Amino acid sequence: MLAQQLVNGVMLGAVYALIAIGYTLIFGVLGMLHLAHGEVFMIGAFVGLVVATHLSGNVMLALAAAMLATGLLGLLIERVAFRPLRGAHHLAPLATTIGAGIALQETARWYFGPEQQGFPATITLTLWEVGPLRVSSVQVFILAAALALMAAVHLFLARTRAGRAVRATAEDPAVAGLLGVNVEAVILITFFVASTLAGAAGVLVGLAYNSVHPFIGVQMGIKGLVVMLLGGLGNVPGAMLGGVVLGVLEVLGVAYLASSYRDAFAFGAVMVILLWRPEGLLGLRVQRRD
Amino acid sequence: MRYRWLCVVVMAIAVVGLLARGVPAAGLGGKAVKLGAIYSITGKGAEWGEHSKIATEIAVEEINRAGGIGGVPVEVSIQDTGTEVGPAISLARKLILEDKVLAILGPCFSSEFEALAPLLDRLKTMIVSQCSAKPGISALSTWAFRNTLTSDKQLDPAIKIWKDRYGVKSAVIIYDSADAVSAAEGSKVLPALLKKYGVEVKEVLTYQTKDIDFSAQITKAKSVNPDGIALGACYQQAANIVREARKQGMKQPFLGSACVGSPEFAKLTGQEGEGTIIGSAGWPDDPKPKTAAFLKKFMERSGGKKPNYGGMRSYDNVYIMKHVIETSGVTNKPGDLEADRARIREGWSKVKDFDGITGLTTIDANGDGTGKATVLTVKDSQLVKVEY
Repeated sequence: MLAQQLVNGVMLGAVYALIAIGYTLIFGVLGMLHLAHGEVFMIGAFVGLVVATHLSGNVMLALAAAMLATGLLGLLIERVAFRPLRGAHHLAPLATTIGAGIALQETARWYFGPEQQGFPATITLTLWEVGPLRVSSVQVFILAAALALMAAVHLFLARTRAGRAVRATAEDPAVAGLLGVNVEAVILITFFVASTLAGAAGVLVGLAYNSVHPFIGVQMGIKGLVVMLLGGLGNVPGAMLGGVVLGVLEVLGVAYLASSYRDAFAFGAVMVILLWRPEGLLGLRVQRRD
Repeated sequence: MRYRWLCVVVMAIAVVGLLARGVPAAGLGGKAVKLGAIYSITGKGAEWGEHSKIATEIAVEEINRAGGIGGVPVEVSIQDTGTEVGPAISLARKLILEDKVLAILGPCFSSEFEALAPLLDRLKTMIVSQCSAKPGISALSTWAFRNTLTSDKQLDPAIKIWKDRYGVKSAVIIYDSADAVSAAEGSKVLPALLKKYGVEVKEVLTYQTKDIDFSAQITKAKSVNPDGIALGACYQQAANIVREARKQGMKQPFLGSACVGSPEFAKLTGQEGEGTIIGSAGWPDDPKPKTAAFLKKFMERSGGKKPNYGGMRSYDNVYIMKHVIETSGVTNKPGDLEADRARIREGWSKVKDFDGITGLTTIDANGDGTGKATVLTVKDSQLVKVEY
């Protein structure tokens, strides 16, 4: 049973990681919290659902459409909720992004209705038995997609010019600007990439758990934030590791402790980890003073 | 000028004609019979509230087209609780104290109902829930009524059928510890009834309403290999639990009650939910003419969705309210508000064999509905009645 529970945890964790990477990218570059990120995830889930239900049963197409739509949504949020506040108090975007999040929730509720919806069952499910384990094709797809996206983000940041510009801006926007990095463009790229990941996560959650509804972003947003803290602020590999750690902790909490307290247990464990390593699992022990 | 007089005379005759039709006593006073409704139109109970709202609007339109209540049109002020306890209470207070309604329809959820009921002795206005199913909570106040069956009554025949049909000797219970009725079912009703029918409970697992991942619970349930899984859940999570179980290769039959009994459950689970046994308090596809006529009107307004039992019972509640107001000496004069509210309460406590779309309604000494539970099963993505 433990092996199956670990599989369950890693699946859940992969989705958390995708959301957390988005948070951490934006936090790393802007030093600001994007509290509508959970709602971007929710919109991604709905876009994927609409494409899969009405246009084509192709999951890849649904994923691509959701990523494109949320990427554009991310740019819109940057324009509306962040850019006017550049240079304002660093807490100001908290209010504007919470507002953007509420606007997105209500729009989705108005357009899609408040009920929970699921992806059509036409997306076929094959089950493989590996020893005592049971893995479904959806799970394999989710894990593969999540890993591929994480690898793509890692390569983008580590190997491309634009990625280097993002890292430079995260380090110090003023100096990066002086050295010829187009900071505005970098911010837009960051928002686009972060939001596409959230959109992808939305589709994957819809596929895996069949619960797409306008308020799903709230819960997922909180999980993503916790994972970001756990992995280390602004640290992409940390967010990946943190996601898996939280997913496994939650599942083990249900499996071996009281299942009503899954969040209490998981968040409690995260608190202990953070007391032990305040900089997060992979965070650097550096204090930066702005 | 003469033409205007003619109009007045015709109108007067029409009004007298309407008053004379089907009204036993003299007509009521006032411009309108004012009722309030607190429904969970958004939040986790959105579907229940939405269906109640549509059903109430249908009943109100029908009644007003046929001359209103006691010759006076009925007005129902429908409020949305968001499926939250706080708004349910404040909206009920507003309807009673400011809008001066005669009585309140709803709330649907047991969590809302059990918080509001104890306050009614002071507010002196009755409420009548269309779907709350947690046993025992109507006894909290003589002003608290529920025209539905509590989940012990819904589940008793369902468990017997489930056990006999699938040969269930052992079960795992999975329930939502954050929802009032689901928690009551999971921790009290199901263990007691399963014991009564000789089904061994191998494991009790919980989750919380907002959870979306049930893989850990299902893996755990699978490890004890029960003959069946009994749910204390609402249909959204129930559907996800069923799908997760199938994904992990469990083929065991499921059992659900009250909050699972929505046509949406059958739609969401499809083939995977086939054969699930559900204790309920209404069957939308009942061929009875009254019910069929309601179903047709409902589906025209709901975008083709069939009503859950809460919607069906809301429709009955409006008609029972009309019956009670017309037969219990209500005057509907502003000065009589307090006396009228008491008369309506008295009238509801005496409702016996009222013939509605969900069957015959009789209110017991606690203020709960009685009668035969409806047992449903999922067949080809539809809820179908199981005869017993």
